[in-house]
Amino acid sequence: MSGYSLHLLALAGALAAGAIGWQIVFGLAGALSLAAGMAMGLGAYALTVLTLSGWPFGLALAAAAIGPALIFAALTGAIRRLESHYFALATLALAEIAVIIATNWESVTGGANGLLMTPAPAWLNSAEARAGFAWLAALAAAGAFYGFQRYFGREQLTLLRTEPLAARAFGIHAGPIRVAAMAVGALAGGLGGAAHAFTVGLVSPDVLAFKTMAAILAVVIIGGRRSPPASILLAVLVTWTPEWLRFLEQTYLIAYGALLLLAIWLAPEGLAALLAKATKALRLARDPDPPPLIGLKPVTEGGLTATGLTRRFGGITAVSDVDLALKSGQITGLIGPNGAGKSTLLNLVTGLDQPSAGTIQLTGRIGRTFQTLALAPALSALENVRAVGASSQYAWAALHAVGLTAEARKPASQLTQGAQRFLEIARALAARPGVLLLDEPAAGLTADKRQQLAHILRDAADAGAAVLVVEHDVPFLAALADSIVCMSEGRVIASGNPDAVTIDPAVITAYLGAPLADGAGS
Amino acid sequence: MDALSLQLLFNGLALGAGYGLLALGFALAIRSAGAINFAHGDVAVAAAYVAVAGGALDLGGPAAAGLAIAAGAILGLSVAGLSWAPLRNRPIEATFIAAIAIGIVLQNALTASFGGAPQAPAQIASGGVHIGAVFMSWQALISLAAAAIAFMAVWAVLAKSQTGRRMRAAAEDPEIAAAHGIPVIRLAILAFAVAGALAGLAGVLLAAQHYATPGAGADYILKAYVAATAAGWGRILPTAAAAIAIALFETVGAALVSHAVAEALLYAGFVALLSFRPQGLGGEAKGKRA
Repeated sequence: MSGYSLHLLALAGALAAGAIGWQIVFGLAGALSLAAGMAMGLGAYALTVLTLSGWPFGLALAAAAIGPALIFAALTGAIRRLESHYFALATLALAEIAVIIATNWESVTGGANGLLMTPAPAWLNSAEARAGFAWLAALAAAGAFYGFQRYFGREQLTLLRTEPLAARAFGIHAGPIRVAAMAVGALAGGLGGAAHAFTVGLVSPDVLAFKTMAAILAVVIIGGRRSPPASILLAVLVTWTPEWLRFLEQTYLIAYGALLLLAIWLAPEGLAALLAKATKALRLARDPDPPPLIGLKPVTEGGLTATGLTRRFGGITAVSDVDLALKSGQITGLIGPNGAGKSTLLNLVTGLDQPSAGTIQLTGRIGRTFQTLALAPALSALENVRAVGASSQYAWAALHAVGLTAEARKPASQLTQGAQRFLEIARALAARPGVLLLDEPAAGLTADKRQQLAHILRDAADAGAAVLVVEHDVPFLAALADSIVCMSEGRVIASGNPDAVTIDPAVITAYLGAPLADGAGS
Repeated sequence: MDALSLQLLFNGLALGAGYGLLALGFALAIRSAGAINFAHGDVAVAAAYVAVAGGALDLGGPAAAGLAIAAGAILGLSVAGLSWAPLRNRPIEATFIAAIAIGIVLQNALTASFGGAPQAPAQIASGGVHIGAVFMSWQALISLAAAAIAFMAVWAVLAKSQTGRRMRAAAEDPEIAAAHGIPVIRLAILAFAVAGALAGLAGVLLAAQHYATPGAGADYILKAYVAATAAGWGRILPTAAAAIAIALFETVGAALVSHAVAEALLYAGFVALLSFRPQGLGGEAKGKRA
C-alpha cells in the first residue's frame, strides 16, 4: 500500500470513529446533535495543545478522549430536556462557540492558522502506525456503540426514540440517556479527532467547522443510523470519493449534500436497513422458541391512594382536589365527559406530570396503556413487550395472557388495531405492575374482543393487581368494575357502586351537558 | 449620549433590520408548516450572492436586490418541495436533515462558483446624510425602511386578510383546518415562499453592510432562531424587538471588546436561556394539552 493510500485510510478511520460517536447520539439516543464536529475538534486540539506543552503522548491521548466526554456531559446536562429542534440549535450554537474560540484564542490554539503537532514518538511515526492508530480509534468507537446499546437495551432505546412519553411512563428517562450518549459519543469523536490531527500533523478550526459535521451526517444517514459497520464502509467511501471525483474539485461537497437528500427520501433508515430488510427472513428463522410457561403471572399485588390531587395549567384547573383509592384485587372504572381531566389524572398518577398539590402513595410498580397507541412500530410484538425491561419469561407470559404468542415475531405495525391494543396491555403487564392503568382499552374492539379484554383485566385483578380503567363504554365498565368514579370539570362528582353511579343525576347531567361544554372548549 | 454611541445605535438598528427579516421568515415557516427550516440562513446567503452576481452584470443595486428577493422566494419553494412536503409525515428529524442537506448543497455551490472570500453586492444607494454627528448611509436607511415595510406587510396579511386567518388556523390545528376545506399544504408552501423572499431581502441587506461569505448561513440561522425563540414563535413585533436587541448587543459588544467575544457571548446566552426555559421563551408550549 502506498503512503498516500495509508494516509487516506487513516483519515477514513478517524472519520469512522467520529461518525460512530454520532451514531451513539443520534442513532441510539435519538438526539439530533449538530456538535459532532466539535467533539472531533476538541479531541484534535487536546492532543495537539497538550503534546506541545510537554505532556507525554499517552497522557495527552487519554485527555483527548476523556476531555471531550466530560465537557459534553456537562454541556448536555444543561440542555438535556430540550425538544429536538431546540436541542439541535443549542448544539449548533455550542459548536459555533467552539469555532469562535479556536479561531480567536491565538495564544493557545494558534488562531485561524492552527498548530503543528509535535512529532510523535518514533514507534508511532510511520504511515502504517498512523493508520493503525486511527483504526484502533474506530474500533474503540464501535465498542463504545455496542456497549452503550447493550447497557441501555436495544428495545428500550427504540421505545425512547419512537414513543418518548410511553418510555417515560415505564421509567425510561430521556435526559440521563442523552447525557450519557453525548459523553460516550464525544469520547469516540475525541479519539477520532485525535487520530485526524495525528494523521495530518496539524490542527486548525477547519476540523471543528460544520464541514466535519456534514461529512459525519453523510456517512451516518446514507450508511445507517445504528450500524457501525455501515459507518466504517461509508467513511472509507467518503474519504476516497473526493479522490475519485477529483476532476469535480469543490463540487464533491455538493454531491454529498445531494446524496444525503436522496438517502433521506429513498432510504430514510440508510443502506444498512435496506440490507437488514433483505435478510430479515433468515434472522427470524433463527429466533429461539418461547420458553415454557408454568402458570407464570406477571402482575403483583399493589395499590394506590391519591389524596387531594390538583393540577393547574395557567388559569385552568384540569384536576381539582381528587381523592382516589385503588385496591388490590379490585377493578375501578373512571368515566366522565371529554375534557373532564381523566387523562391528566392518569398522567399525574404515572408520574408523567407533576401535581400542583396533593400526594400519591403507591405500592408496587405501575403499568399503563395509552389512549392513542404508543408502540414502537418497527419492533416486533415481543420486542415491544421487552422494551419495558421485562425478562424473556415475563415477556412471553404477558403475551400469553393477552393471547398474542402467535404474533410475537410480527412487527407491531403489522398487527390489527385490536391486537395493538392488546399488545399495549401485554407491555403494561410485562412491567410486572401492582397497579394497572388502562386508558380507553376497549376503543375500537369488537364484542368478542371486549369479552376477552374483560377476562384479561379480571385475571390481573384476581392475581392481586389494582386495576383502573378509563372508558367511555359505560355498560361495558358497569359489568366489569367493582366500583366507578365519575369526573367532570376536574372534580370527582360521584363514586361507588357501578349501578348507583350510572343512575346518579349529577353523572347524567355531566354527560348530557358534555357536547355543549366540548364545543365551547375546543 | 455622545456621537459614537449614537452611531453604534444606528448601526445596530440597521443590522437588526436584517436579523429581524430573517427571524420573521423563519418563524413564519414554523407557524404555518410546523417546520424548522435549517436551510433558512443558507437561502439568505444564496440570495445575497444572486445580488452579487447581479452587481457584476451592472444591473444596479435595486434591480439586483429585486432579483435576490425573487431568488429567495424560489429557493424557499424549493426547500418546501424538497425537504418538507415529501417528508412531512415522517419523524421530524427527516425534514431537519433534508434541509441541512440543502444547506450543504447551497453553501458548496456558492463556494464553487464564487470562491470563499467575502463579497459585497451592489449598494442599493450610495452616499448618505449626516444628522448631527451621526452618519446614516442611504443603504442603511433603506434597509430600515424596507424591513419596516416588510414587517408591516406580513403583520397586515396575517392579522387582517382571509389568507392570514386561514394560515393561522392551518398552523394551529392542521387536521381541523383541512376538515374545514382550508388548503393546509398550499398555505404552508406559500409561507415557505414568503419566508424565502424575506430571507432574500435580509441576505442582500446584511451582505451590503457586512459582505457575504458562503458559510454565513449558520450564523444567520442561529441569530434568527435566537430572535424568534426570545419573541415567541410568530409574534411579529416582539420578533423585531428581539432582533434589534441582538444586533445592538453584537454591535456594541464588537465596539467595546471584539466581535468574536460578542458573538460567543450571544450564543452562550442563548444556550443558557434554553437550559432554564426548555420550552422556549414564547408561548410555544401553551397550546399543548397534556
